[in-house]
Amino acid sequence: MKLIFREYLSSLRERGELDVIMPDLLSELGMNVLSRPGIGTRQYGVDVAAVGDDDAGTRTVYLLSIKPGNLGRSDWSSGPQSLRESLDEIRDVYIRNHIPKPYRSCPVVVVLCLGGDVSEGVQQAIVGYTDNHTTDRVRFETWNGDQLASMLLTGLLRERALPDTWHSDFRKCLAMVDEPLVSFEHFCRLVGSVAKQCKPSRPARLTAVRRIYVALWTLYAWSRDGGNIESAYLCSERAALVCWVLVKDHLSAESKPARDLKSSMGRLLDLHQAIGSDYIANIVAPRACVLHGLASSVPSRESLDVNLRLFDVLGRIGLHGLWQLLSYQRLEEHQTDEKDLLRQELSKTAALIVDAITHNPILCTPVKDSQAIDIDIACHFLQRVQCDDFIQKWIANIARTTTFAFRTNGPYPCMYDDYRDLLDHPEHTNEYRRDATAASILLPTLAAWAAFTHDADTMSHLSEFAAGDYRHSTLQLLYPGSDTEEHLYEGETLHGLNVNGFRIPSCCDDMVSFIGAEADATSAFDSLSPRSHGVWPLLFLASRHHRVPVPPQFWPLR
Amino acid sequence: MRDSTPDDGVLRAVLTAGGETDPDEFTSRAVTLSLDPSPTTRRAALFALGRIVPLDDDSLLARTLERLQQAVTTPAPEGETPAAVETTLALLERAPDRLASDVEPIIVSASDNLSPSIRSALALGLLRHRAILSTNMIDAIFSALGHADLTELETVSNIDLVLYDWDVDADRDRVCTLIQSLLTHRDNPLSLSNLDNFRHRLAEAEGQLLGWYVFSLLSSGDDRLCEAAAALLPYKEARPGIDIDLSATTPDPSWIPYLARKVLAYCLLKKECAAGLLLSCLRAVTKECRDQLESDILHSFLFNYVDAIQFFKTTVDAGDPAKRSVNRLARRLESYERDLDRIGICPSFTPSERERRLQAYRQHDFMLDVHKKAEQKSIFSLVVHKSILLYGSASVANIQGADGNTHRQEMRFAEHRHSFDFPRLYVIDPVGLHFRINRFKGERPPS
Repeated sequence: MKLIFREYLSSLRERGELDVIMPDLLSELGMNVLSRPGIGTRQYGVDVAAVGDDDAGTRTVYLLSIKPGNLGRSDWSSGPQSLRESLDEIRDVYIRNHIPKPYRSCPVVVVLCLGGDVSEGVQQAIVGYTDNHTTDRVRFETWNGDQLASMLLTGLLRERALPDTWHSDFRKCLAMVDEPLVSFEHFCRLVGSVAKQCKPSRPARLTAVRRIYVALWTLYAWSRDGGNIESAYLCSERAALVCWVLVKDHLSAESKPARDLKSSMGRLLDLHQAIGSDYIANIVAPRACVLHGLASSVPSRESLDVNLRLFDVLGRIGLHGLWQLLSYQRLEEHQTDEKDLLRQELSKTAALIVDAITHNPILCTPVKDSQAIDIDIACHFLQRVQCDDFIQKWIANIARTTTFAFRTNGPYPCMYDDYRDLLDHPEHTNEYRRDATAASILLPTLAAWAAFTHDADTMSHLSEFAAGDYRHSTLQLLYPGSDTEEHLYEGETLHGLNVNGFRIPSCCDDMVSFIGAEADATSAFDSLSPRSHGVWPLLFLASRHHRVPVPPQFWPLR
Repeated sequence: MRDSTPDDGVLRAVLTAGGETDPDEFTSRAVTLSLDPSPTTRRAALFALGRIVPLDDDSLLARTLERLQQAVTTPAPEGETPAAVETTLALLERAPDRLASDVEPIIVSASDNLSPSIRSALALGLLRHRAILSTNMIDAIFSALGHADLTELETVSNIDLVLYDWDVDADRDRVCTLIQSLLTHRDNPLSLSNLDNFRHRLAEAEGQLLGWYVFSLLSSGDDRLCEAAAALLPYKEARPGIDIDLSATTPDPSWIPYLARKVLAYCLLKKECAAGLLLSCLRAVTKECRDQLESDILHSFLFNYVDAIQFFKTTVDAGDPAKRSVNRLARRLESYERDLDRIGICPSFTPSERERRLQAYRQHDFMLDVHKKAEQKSIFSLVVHKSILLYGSASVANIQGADGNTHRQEMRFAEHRHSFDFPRLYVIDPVGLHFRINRFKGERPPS
């Protein structure tokens, strides 16, 4: 296990990676973190400052200057970003002026914190430097990857306290990153056992969240090196949901553990978004801008595989956009530069969805009814960035191809989810066709978006189809119920209020009124915790991950 | 005699034999008997009439011809008119040059009759006496045969044999019209599989002839004829000359994009042939329609078979009217392929191990099924004994020869493989492809 973590730590090469882990690690080692790394420059050479007892039990201030990866000669002493410069700044400025008053009399340990190792050529230079500048009060330590890995295991992960299966699940999870679903399965077992054995106290929950965070980070770093982050993406969604269950009831409290819980959860969501961004930027974006690019990248000769993968990707892009939108909404009025930057990012994501759909027409032909969820998520994002025209055309296209596929017995959307059933789909009997389309959320979803975009033609087309060829199908919408909050994040499917047995009206306004009336009649939506705590995209994430329809209350009803 | 012969066989024999010794007498009797109330007697008399009438007796010949004409023009009991047709052609056979003009009206009149039995007689007559029939008679018979349907097994079989022997090149319009009628019959139309001999004949014909038939059938826009056009094309063969000169055969240049779309809709699975046919379209298309045609070919054909551009490239030379279009298409396709090569396959998109396993099982079952069906249909399964050999790369058998000695025969195994290209869009956009094909199929001919 130590080797795994050492490998993981050495692979954290960017800013915002190793330095984000260190505060949690120090906290779990019993230290009090005084300052965390901020965005932009370091604080006079210090990335993380903490106070805690040293080996002799003396209260000591630890000032960490963090350097990801190995330390070579150029990292040590060339330029203003070099480690030597940072150490000089720490000695000259930080120790003199920035240590908080209560700890000014404490001894200081300046830590050269490295993800990897010190290269041989620099070793002597460091020894010389630290010998020269060690005083009665200030001394120097080097924490390399090996040491950090030990600290992770003994401190943050508290190896001995972990469930028995943790190690084996974690190792399998990492070993199987090239088989993402197998890796994901082990990760689910791992986070499941951590959550299950977590005591109800806030510190225990905090530890559990941090463990999951480190496990996710390790998996991400591992799979990133392996060139396949699929498993990391799936696991990040599951981790976010499991941790949300652990923290959601404690977020309103003002105590320090509660605040720590909140910030740990925030970091986990940041990591999920980082993995999502990586996925979108490196896997999806280069392919979406090429005609048939995404579809041709699926290594399979089965059109079913292409279809399933592309709708899955579509949902992920939509979700990524919704997280970006949340970040945008959170910015203050005066943060105009950041707002401009994010606005550009939002436009890019919208363009990405448009490109993906335009260049891959298979995204107009869902084969599973539940792909309505991915369509819905993408539409939500597009609608919020004012791409109504595109939504209208896309939905009209889906409606047209869906009815065509149904009537010609092509691969029309069916309600089956199991791959084996989908492989055999469609069978060419009327009885099968009726069974395979006995229920649908897709048609109401399409009708809803046709209504919101005022597409009367598509609306009447869908209305006619639903009342004609599709009249055997139970059209339905799922509204959150009083039991949704309890079950949604953990993947229980039996929750919520199923509104069914309705017909699709031919008039857009009637459709909107119908959806709105039911939304007004139920109040559970307002009490869903991600909404009340300002992380509403988590509800989309839960819907996507557990394949449950997005609450209709998110639709632009007014 | 009538009372004692319920079967017309004896009467036929007696009249025919009598005609050998006393043609005048027996012809007169045959004319009389051909008006007998008994249909059997009438049929037998008619049968004999054409065979025994003396050709040097103008009066008897005129009576005979008059009677035959009467038999095919007036309503008659079942079997009488076919017998009249048969005997007329037998009569013609005896003096083709002299009687052609006299017999022609009888055959033409018979051809107007829509009775299946008459069609059967005409088909048989055409098969047996084709060489002595006048153009008008052939036209009339072809026209009559066009009404044959699937229930007329014998007639259809004879038509197939006629067409197999026919000059399908020199007489292509007439043959094509007949085929079109047969395949579009209102009730029980034929399919091309009912005309297997004809199909094989065309399959062996030169490319330009095959191309002409294919385009002629496609230009009708009728689904059944277009399906037949596709069925005429062989798999995996780039026949020289199939890229025919459409400017000489197509009524209007505006038809070219329409024909190309029909090729795309019906012949897509036959890559090599479709490429040849599309090249014909590229050569003949007008400037105004060229962009649209290139776009259709790129999106519906070359995106399905990216290697098909090689066929275009190697077939067109510097002065070819399609050269510029082919160059443009090659450039666009190259750019498309370059982009796809650049992004490559994405490991993250790989289906899971379970999914791959399920696919493999399904593929295995499918291939097993195909193999079984192919074996059942194979002619070899009827004539040879099947043995399964588990090991080895050659087989040894000891065969007893006619001399009573055993001869050792060694036979090396040879591998037999069959493969075909699958349209790419069937994987990356199946419904879209189906939708487009459907649209092309439903397109009506330009007015």
